[in-house]
Amino acid sequence: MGEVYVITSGKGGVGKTTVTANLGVGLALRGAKVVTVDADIGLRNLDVVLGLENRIVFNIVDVVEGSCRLEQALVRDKRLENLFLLPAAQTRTKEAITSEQMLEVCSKLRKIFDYVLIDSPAGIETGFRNAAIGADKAIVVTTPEVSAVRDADRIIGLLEAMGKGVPQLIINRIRLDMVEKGDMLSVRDVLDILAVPLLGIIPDDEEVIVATNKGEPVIFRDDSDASRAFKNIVARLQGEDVPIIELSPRKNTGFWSKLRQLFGGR
Amino acid sequence: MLSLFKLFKKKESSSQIAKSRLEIMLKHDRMELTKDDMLEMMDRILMVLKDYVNYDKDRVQMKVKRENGETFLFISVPVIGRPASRDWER
Repeated sequence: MGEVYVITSGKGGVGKTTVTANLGVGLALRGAKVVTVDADIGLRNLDVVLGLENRIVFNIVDVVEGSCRLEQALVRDKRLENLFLLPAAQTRTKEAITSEQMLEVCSKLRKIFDYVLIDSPAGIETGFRNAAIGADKAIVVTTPEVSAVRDADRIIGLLEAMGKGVPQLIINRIRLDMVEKGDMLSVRDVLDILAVPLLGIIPDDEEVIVATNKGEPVIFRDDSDASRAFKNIVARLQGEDVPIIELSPRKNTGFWSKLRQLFGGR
Repeated sequence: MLSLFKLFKKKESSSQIAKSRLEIMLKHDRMELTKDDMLEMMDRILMVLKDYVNYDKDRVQMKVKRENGETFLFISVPVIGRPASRDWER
């Protein structure tokens, strides 16, 4: 039986979809059978980030309405044969799927796959609840900004209230230079505030945008900081003990050496 | 002396401002109590306390913390003695 993860954030635009795509690819690169699920009905994006937008025939709403079988809606990745996408419907609304239907889809998927990664829509309403309902575990994505951290706190509370336990946190788009100057919340600050376990940190990296432009998740590359950060997170998801080296803003150890330490996997 | 102290005190960075703003925001968000509710609750708690202890009211602090999925309310009250009026009870 596979594990079902929901990737969520509360606030939009913090990188849920990018995280889902990269973790999906990363787990598949390590040989796991993975499906990524786009639960953002009406505003689908995961297909684009994965570069699979031209391969979609059916979607998750077709599946729950019985217009096709689950297997028919699954889009196989063009690079990895053990990675799949269950796309969202683009011309429907969140109300097109009920929680019961979502639960059923999840229980079917976990029988086929090692990992089911559900990309949640922003917000705290139906869309989020449906995305989370079938999940065993939750990953909350935030950026080191006041609004994103506040929304992350709210979503952590809601996930706990839904009985999903304490979620793991990914802090995205960290800019070391700004943290050093005291102009960005540090990893420590965010953890002090949210008090949940840290799954990983991802530096703000232009390569992520380049990768999205091309529809090739950045984790496929070997030469980017974000790619290394995602690979570390994937290893942690699979139970490996990859240390997260703390960035403390006012220490005088070399900036670049710290960066290398931080993302060099050691 | 005070101004000298101020001179050496570092200017608060924007990340420190962000952190303290968040701490205040989340205190309310997590309890889902309004600011007025919180103030009223504090007043009532302190009203009870003052029958039993003397405390430094300028240093009373309230914190809402989350641990292992539960929300805790911490109130720290610096006690500086006992009120004279209750001494006879001991």
